[in-house]
Amino acid sequence: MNESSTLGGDQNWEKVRAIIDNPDFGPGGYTDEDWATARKQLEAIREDIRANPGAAAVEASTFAEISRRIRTLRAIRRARGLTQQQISDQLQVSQGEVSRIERRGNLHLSTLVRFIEATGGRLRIIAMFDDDEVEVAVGDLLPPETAA
Amino acid sequence: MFIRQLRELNAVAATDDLCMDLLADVSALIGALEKYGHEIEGYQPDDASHPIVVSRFRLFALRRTPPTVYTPYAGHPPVLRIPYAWFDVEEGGEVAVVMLVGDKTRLGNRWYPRVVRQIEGTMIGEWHRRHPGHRVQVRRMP
Repeated sequence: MNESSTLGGDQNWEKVRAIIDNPDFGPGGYTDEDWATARKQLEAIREDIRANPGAAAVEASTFAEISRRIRTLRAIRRARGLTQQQISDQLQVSQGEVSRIERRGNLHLSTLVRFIEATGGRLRIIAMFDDDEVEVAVGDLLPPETAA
Repeated sequence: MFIRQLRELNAVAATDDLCMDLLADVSALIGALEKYGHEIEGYQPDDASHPIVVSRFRLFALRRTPPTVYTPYAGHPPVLRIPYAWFDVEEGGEVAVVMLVGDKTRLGNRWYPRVVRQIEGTMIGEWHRRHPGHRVQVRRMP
């Protein structure tokens, strides 16, 4: 993909602009069909996208990138049916701090261990090699006061 | 509105690969909302969806942004936003209703107020009329 390119030719770009830059909010302009019909139409458009190999690849890579960027800790907590408040009670920190932990990258290992334990889990770290897998002893990496 | 816009974009995409790629990005964003729901929402620049803070309702916008350090997957302009609102459903649970797809390239954050006015003033009311069992959620402060 040429990142400096704009959409299609000028003529097509004007058509696209007319659709997305100046939506028609006039009478009837905002109405859609009912939910079921709208969903069917969405699926039909997706079929067109997936029939185009290039567009299908764009859709798949965008979706994969979004999936990768979902906050993992938040997803783990929600999958366990826990609220930030419940985690904060367990960790004895504020709910805001739990929110910050979920958003922060490059966490302290001890923080990660405690967070996972607060969700009812246990953190394991596996070093992966082409010909081997080695479990890292998490406890050995923690400061003495936090190691179990 | 949203589906109508998609149909129109799809018509252009039939002869324009870059428009088709744009449509593919939009489809991926909708797919992520369908699959992950609230998990994609947040205040960070690399979150796929962000709150629309100028609304009194629980509105978010999916973001499709040209490539930056946060959005390396976006191949080319424009800067799209796809607002959606969360509704409580009478039978239980909630649904996200996508309102429209818009381009904030030229206006930046000044794009939001007009769109929010239309969503709050017209589109949500229209949705309520068509779906009496749905009730729009009011924004909660973070």
